[in-house]
Order: sequence, then structure tokens, then C-alpha cells
Amino acid sequence: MNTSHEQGHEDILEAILVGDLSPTAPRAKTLLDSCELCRRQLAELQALESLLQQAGAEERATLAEAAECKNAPGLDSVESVLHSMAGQPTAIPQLVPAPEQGARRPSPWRLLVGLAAAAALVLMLNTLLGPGPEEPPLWLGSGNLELIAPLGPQASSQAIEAFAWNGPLPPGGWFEIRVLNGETVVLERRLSTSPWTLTPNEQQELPASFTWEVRTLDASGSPSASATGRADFPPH
Amino acid sequence: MSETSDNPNHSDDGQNPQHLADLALAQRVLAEAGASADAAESSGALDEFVTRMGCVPRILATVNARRGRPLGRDELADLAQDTLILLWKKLHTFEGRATLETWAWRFCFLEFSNRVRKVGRRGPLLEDLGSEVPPEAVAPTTTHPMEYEPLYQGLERLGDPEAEIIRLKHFEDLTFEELAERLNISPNTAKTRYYRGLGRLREDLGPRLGELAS
Repeated sequence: MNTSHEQGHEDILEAILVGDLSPTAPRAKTLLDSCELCRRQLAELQALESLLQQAGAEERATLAEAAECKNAPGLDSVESVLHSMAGQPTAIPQLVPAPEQGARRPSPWRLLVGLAAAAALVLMLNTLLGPGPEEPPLWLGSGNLELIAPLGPQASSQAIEAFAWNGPLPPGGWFEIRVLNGETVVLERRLSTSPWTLTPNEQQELPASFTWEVRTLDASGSPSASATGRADFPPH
Repeated sequence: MSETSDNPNHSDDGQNPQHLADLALAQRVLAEAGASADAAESSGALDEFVTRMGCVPRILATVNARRGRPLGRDELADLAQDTLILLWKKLHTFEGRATLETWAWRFCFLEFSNRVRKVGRRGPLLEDLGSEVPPEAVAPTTTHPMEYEPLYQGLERLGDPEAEIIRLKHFEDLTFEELAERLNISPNTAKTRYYRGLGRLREDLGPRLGELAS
């Protein structure tokens, strides 16, 4: 409040604003008739009050109407979004058991370092050995889905800490990831975000050569995108 | 949806029991999420929270309808997801000063305003004229959401206790006696803080107040 303004004036303005004094009361009228600053200040404060009242009324009305709203867009994805944020993919049907209790999750940094090390190793092997007789990594797919790692030759199963991919997820949808040894599914997981961090047991189950595929499914379970890649360990 | 009553039953310490229950729920949700990596047991708090946060897409759809449907269904669904993510990230800041729905409303409002500004569209989409909220179900408003935005932002900058008193007075429609009881202060203190807050908000808005009020 304007500190240069007389305190007595402020007291009267406060009384008017909070409803303790009518603006037409003699004490208020005398002040407002004689002080231009008070008149302007009161008008602005009343305009502000009116605006706040409108905003408040709209908030209450919207909340009341919203309570009756059916089939709002995005309503079907509230559960999957919040479960995903809570780190609980339980909204999405689990196909494989969750990691054992107490199993430590690799930190994002550890994961990044692991992926970077794997990528560096792939590059180094490619440079040293040149193009090998084996087939190049398989890249198949439809839609806007990109596999990141693991792809191509791998140092060992321990080098693979996670499967990572990149792609949009439709509202209420999920990613389905499968690791195949030939035609046999050896690992399977449904997740709402990349990456899929492997447990030590899952790492052990990876075959020497495998393909892995990621499918994007929408809320109804219909696939909207897919991508397939291959990774191999060196022969013993 | 849980609504704040105009005449709430207050707990002994003056806080609204519904608000306290919502604060406890938020704390249980965060504890449950924090423990989810190691513990399989669930208290059901997250499920209750999911049900309550169904208000987010509903609020966005209602605001959209009241504003002449500037956003399409896909845009609304996308916005609902973004707002839910934002709410989750801000959940630790929920202090139980309002219901979860009222708290969510403020995020919905600002995110809706931002999205409308971003898409730069105010008119209805033809594809959405027969959509989720029937036209007769909402009271259209002539005030554009952006016109209240400086007000909300000004209240954020004002901070408590003045902002809280202004919110209780105008957004929860409490009398000075009711809000004084809620805050465990005398009605005269409430009035003084209200007047001081109003004055500071006026100074903060500056020349924009004239534009907003016109």
C-alpha cells in the first residue's frame, strides 16, 4: 500500500473494502470527496475484487460442471500416466515377474555409461575387424519407432544392461518388447517407457544371438508401430 | 469429484477435514511411489489418487467447452497427459490448503491457457462440435482464460498468508469470519491481511489491472 498516504485514509479504505463501512457513510463520503488518491485507489481495489470474484465463480462453476463431465478426452489414460510416473507399470499387464525384492536398480548414469561403453565397443570392433562375414544388424519396422540398443555385436551378455528404444506412445498405450531366440520368445515385457532395465537373471537368459522387437500398442491393444533388431555375442 | 463446501466442518485446529484428508492421501501416494521399487505392497493410495485425478481431463474438457472449444479432442487428450505429469511432479508441493481438485484446477487452467496460446486458435474445431461436453451442459463465458492468468500469477507471486486469504475469500467464497476460523486468526487480522494483500496484488498487476477490469 502507498506508504506516503495517510494512515487514517488507509484505515477508512480498508473498512470500506472489507464491508465494515458503507462508501456512502459520512466518514467515507467525506474522505472520498476530498482525496483524489483515495477515490482512485478504492476504484482500483474494487475492480480487482470484482475480477477475483469472477475468477472464483468460474472456478467453482467449472469444478461443478467437470464433476458431471463424461468421456473427457484423456480420461482413459489417467491411470497409465500416473502409474508410469509413480514408477509402477502395474497398470500395464505384467508378462514377466518384477525384479526380486531388494534388487538394486541401475542409476540413469550407470545405464548411460553402460550404453555408451557398449556403443564404443561396437565401434571399436567394427573398426578393428572391418565388415565381417555375418549379416548386418537387422532393421525392420513400421511407424515412428527406433531401436537404440543393443544392436549388432556385443561384448558379452553382461554388457547388455537394458533395451532402449525411442518412439511416441499413444494415450493409454504401451510398448511390448520381446526377445526371441529363433522363433522362441525368451523374454517379454510390457512397459510404458524406455528403457527396459534387465535384472541379472534376465541378462543370463539372453541367448548368444537373438532378435528383439518392440511394438507400440494403443489403448485398445492394436499395434501402431514396430521395429526389430538383432544382437550377437562373440563365439566362445 | 470432491467439492469444497461453503460451510465446511472444521477440525479442531481450524483446517478443513477434507483438505487434511487430501494432504494425507498425497503423502501416502508419494510414499507408495517411493517404495514401489522395493516393495510390492500397495496401500491403495495410488489407486484412489488415480480416481481423483480423473478430474484433470474433465476440468480441461469443461474449460475448453466454456471457452468455445479452441482445442480438439486429440489436443485435449495430449494436454491432459502433460498436465497429469506436471501435477505428479508438483505433488510434493501440495499443502492441503484446498481439495486436490481445486489444486488441480489451477494447473489445468494455466496449462490450458498456455496450450491455447501455443496453438493460436480460439474458435471451435468443426470435428469437435459434437463432443464430450454437450453445449447445453456448460455456461459459456465471455472472459478469455488468459484474462485471469495474470491474476493467478500475481497470487503466486504474492504468496501466503495474504494470497491464501484472498483465495479463501473469493475462490472458496468464505466470509471473513469463516476464513478466520479456518486459519485460526481473528476476523480483524484476516481483514487487515486481506486489505494488505489486495493492495500488493494491485501494485503487482500495475497497469494491467486497468486492461483486465475493462
